[in-house]
Amino acid sequence: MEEKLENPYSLKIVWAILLVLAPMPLVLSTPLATEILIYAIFAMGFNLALGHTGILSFGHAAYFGLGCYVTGMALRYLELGVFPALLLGTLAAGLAALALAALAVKRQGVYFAMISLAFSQMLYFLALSPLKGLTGGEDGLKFIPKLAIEFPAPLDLSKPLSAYFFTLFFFALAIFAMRQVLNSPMGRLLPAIRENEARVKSLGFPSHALKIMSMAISGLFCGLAGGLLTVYLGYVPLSTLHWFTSGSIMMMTILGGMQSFSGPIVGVLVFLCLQDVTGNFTERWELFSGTLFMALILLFPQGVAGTIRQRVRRRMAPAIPEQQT
Amino acid sequence: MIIKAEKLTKKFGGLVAVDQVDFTLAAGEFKSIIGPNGAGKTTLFNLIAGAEPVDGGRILFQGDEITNLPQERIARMGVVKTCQTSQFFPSLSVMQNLSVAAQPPSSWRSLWRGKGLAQKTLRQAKAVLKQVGLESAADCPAEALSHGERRYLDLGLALAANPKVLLLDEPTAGMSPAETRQAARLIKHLAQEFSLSVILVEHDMGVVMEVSDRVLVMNEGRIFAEGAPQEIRRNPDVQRIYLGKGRAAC
Repeated sequence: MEEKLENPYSLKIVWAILLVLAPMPLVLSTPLATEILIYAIFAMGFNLALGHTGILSFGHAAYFGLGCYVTGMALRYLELGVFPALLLGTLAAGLAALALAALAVKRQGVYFAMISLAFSQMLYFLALSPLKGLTGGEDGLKFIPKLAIEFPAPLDLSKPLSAYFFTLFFFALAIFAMRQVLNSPMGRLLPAIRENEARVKSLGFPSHALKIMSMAISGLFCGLAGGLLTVYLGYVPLSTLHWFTSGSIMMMTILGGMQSFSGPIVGVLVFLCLQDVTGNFTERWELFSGTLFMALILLFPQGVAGTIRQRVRRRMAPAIPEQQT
Repeated sequence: MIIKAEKLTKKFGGLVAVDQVDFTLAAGEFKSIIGPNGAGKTTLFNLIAGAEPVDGGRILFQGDEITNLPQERIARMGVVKTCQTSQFFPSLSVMQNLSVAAQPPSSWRSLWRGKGLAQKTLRQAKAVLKQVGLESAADCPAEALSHGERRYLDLGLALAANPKVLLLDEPTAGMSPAETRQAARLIKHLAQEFSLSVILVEHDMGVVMEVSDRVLVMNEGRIFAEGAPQEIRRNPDVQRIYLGKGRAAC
């Protein structure tokens, strides 16, 4: 009898998420559905660092924004096609995350968070003023040529539904890739780092290199999300680099549940839908989302997805000992 | 000699925790270190395992110098240490804990899970699970284990990492005398089965005398005496420093 090493994350969950999210435009507005997919990729990437590896970063807007700007600049100035531009944006963000992690990996917890915040603020102010000629400063990067792809089928990406399916394709790619990362030998070591980094070291694994890799892969996902935002919006708002973006993605991730695969995605879904609904009748939607955030965290201490999963498990397996010492 | 340390020194400010210690461990040898609190036993461990930088002297492992190499390099070569407090991954299941430790060290680079690698990892983790007797708790989160079980899990993690030399810093800390005896016998048994070289720090003298090939006594950062268990037991100086002057007769 050959037994298999159990995968922490099954294919079923990936397909379930895709099946639930794919028909979103039937229920929600298409632009909202597209944004949900884009931020879901962003949150998945962010959560690889925070939830899975235990790296606290206050500056993930840097990688998201870098993905946006590099993709946008590649489209506007280099006149590249959509796919190469996205690839460039993704790689740029991955490299930036790799570089920052390599510099700051020896700092733990809040110190790392502060360094990452400083880095993202640096990019924000670079884009705001010194590089105004390239980035468009406060107005954001505009005049990106009209986007369309020829392969695999001719698709005009300025049409909302086309943009949605284009994004959905990359979302599917990203979610399968994330599962692959988490189930790989490298990915299995990441939660161990979150739990006890010293022990990982004493077992012979280079924890610093692993954390750097985790950040770099996280950066790739954020960069892809950023690039997709550029393609979807047709321009790059400066706010993508703002610390508020870092804060939002952290809020969405925690809201959904950090230590689960679907958590960040659920968080994005809940957060953006709430924002959409409250935004209909007030401009101060942050006030509502803040209150709701606190209420939801009290109701779901492990995040929405995490708490539901925990309750289901407890019901199914009441025999798990609960003693704490 | 699988491990050879020469004139090993470690200072903490003005305190010399380990003072020019010469230390050897033969392949397959079971050596215990005893000594009063603060004698430098844990520091000596940390130096050998690379958990703390060495201030003077050098350490050879199978003839290669490992002084001040990063801890993960030394562990990868086969010198694996456990601490006085159980170190594991609390929210992962016992089996997941052991699977992490059983992964071949070079696999950390891999984003692709080869079938052979997974089989090997699983087999190793299962074998260790059985050896340390935690089969019934395999799917429990490690944080739900009792104190004694945690000590066994800690030992299991070290075993799963394929060590050649095991440095066990009070693996029986917090156990009752009966549990201590049982645990020490298990360690001895496993060491023989896998022909491991073991350095053990242990306070229960009866256990030390029973399982050790050689016993080393440390005091104030130096080696005070070394010999077979019988010699050490008879050494009056050892009784004096280890048991305290007034209690030497006990």
